[in-house]
Amino acid sequence: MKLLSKYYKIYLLLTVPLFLVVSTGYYFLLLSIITGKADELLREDKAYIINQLQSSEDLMDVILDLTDDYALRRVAETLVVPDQFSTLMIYDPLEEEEEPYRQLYCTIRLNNQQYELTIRKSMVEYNSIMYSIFILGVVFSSLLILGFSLINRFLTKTIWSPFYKTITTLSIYSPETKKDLQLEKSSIDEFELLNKTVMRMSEKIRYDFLQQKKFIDNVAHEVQTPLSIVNANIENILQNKHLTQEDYLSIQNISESSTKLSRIVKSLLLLSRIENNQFEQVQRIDLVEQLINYIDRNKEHLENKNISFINECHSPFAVSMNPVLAEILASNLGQNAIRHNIENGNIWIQQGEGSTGQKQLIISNHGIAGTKDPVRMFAMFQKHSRNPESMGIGLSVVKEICEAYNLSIGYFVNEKIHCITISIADQ
Amino acid sequence: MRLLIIEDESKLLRSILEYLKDEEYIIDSTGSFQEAVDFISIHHYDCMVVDLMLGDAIGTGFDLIKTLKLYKADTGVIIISAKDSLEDRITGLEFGSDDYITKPFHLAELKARIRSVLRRRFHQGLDHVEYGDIRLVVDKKEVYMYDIKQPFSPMQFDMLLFFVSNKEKIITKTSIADHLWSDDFSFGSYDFLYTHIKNLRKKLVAGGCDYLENIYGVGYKFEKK
Repeated sequence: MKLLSKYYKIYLLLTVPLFLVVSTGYYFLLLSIITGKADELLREDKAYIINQLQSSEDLMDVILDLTDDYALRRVAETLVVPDQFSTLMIYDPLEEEEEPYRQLYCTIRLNNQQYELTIRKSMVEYNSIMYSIFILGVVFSSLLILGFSLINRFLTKTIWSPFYKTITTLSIYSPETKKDLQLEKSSIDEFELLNKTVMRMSEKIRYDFLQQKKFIDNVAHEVQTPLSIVNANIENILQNKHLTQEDYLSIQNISESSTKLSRIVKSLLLLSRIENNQFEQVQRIDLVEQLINYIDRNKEHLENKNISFINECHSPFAVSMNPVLAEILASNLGQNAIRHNIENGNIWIQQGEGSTGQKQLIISNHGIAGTKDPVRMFAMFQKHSRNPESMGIGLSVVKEICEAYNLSIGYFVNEKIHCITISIADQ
Repeated sequence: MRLLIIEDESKLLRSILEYLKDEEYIIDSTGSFQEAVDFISIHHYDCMVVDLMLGDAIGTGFDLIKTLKLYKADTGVIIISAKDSLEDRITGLEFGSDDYITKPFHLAELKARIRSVLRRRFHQGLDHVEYGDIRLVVDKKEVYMYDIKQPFSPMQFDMLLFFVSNKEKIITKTSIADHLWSDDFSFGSYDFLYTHIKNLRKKLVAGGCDYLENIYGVGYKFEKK
C-alpha cells in the first residue's frame, strides 16, 4: 500500500467515528438548548396566566387572551405539585400526524382555591429550526473536513516528493554503472539525511563491487604465469624415464587440476573483458550461421554420441555483435547442447516469437530431466550436470555476452528437452 | 636451426629450455630486453619466441619484433602473451609475427607451433614431416606409411601431426584436447578424446606403424619401437 493511501485509510478510520460522535453530541446540545428555551417560555406563560387570573374577575377573559393551550381545573386543597416539564406527542387532526409538544404541569393557588395548571406549547416550529441548524452544522463541518484533507493531500505530496524522487532514482540505480549515485538536494533535514546516508552506502557498495571485480581481474592475470610454470614443469617431469605408476597418477591429478584452473582463469578473464566493454568492434552477424558453423566443426562430437542436428531456421537471425564474441557465444551454446545431451539425442535450432512478439532464437537439446532454476542456471560456477568437470561458467559467459548486446536470454525445460532462448529486446 | 627465446619469468624459461633440449636447436635465451636486442644484432635466428610483457620497462615484445624485422625480416616469430586480446594478435601480425600463444599454455603446444613455424620458413611448398616410416604432407594433409597413402580425417591428421611434433615425449591428455579443441570445446570428459585416439591407433596399426603408446592414463607417447 502506498504511503498516501495508508495515510488516508488511517485518517478516515479516525475521522468518521469522531464525526459521528461530535454530530450526536451537537444534536443533543441543540435539543437541550431548544427545550430549555421552550421551558422558559412556558414559565413566562405561567407567570403571565397567574398574573392575569389574579387581576381578573372573570376567568373566561383570561382564557381568551391566551394563545397557547392551557387547562385550569380545581383540585383538592391538599394537592401541591411543583413545576413539571415533559415532552409529549399529540395528534393533530388538521395535519393528521402526531406533533411534539412541551408541557408544563403544576398547581397554583388562586383566591384560596387550589388549581392544577397545564400549559402546552407546540414544538413543531422550534424543531424545524433546530433541524435546519443541525443540518447546516453537519454540512459545514463535512466541508471543513474535506477541505482539510485536500490541504493535507497537497501538503504531503509536496513534502514527500523528494522521498519519491529518491526511491525512483534508487530503483533504477545499479552499482555496475560507471557513475556515482546522485540524489537531489532536499530542504527537509530528514530527507537530506536519508539521501546522504543512501549515497554514502551506495558509494561503499560500488567501491566494493569495483574492487572485487578488479581483484578477480588481477588474480586471473597474476595466476596465468604461475600456472604456465606448473603446466610446463608437469610436462618436463613426465619425460623422466624413472617414474613409477604412482608418480604418473600424481602427475595426472596435478595436470588435470591445473588445466581446470587454467580454464577457469581464461573464462574469468573473458567475463571481465566483456564487462569492461573491451570488444568494441560491432557488425551484423547471423547467429544461425555461427551455430551451424560450430556444429559443423564439431561433427565428430555429435557422431560420438550419435546426436542429430536439426536446423529448422529458414532465415538468418541477425544481431549486432562483436565477431569474436559471436563466435564464443555460438561455441558456448553449441558446447552446452552437446555436453548435456544424451545418447541418440537431438539438437534443434528454431526461430519463433517471444511473448511480446520479439524475434527469438531457440536452441534446444535432449537431456536428463532435472529441476533447473533459470536464474541459477546462468550464475557463475553453477554446476548443472552430474558431470563433475563442467563448471557452468560457459553459460554465464553466454549471459554476459547477451546482456552486453541487449539480448535477453531465457531457459525452460519441456519433458527432458532443454531450451535456451535468445530474444532481441525491443529498442 | 637457431632459436631465440625471450621470457622474463626465469622458471618458465628454464622449463621451456628443458623441454626443447632434445631437439637439434641452438637456443639463446634471455629475460631482459637489452640482452635480447644484443642477441638479435649479433646472431641470425630462424625463430624467435617472445613474451610481450617484459619486466624491465625499456621495451615490450613488440619493440623486439620491430627490431628483429630490421635485421632479418624472415625470422619466424611466436608471441607469448598473458592477454588473449584480439588487438594484440592483430598488432602482432602487423609486425610480422607468425603465431600467438596465450598463457597458460602447454609446452607440447609451444613445441608444435615452433616446429610449424620452422617448417613454413624452410620448406616452401614442400611442407612435410617424417618420422620413422610415416610421412605427413602438411599442406595437403596427407599421410603416407611405407610410402602408401592412408586415409586420415582432418582431425586425425592434426592429432598425428601434434604427436609427431612431440615425438618421443609423453604428452598429456589435456594438451592434446586443448590443441585440438581449445577454442571450441572445453571438455567435460575425455570420452571424445579416447574415441579419437582409438580410431587413430587403428589406422596406425593398419598401416604398420604402431607407434602410439598409452602411458598409465596420464597421456600418450609417440615413438618408434
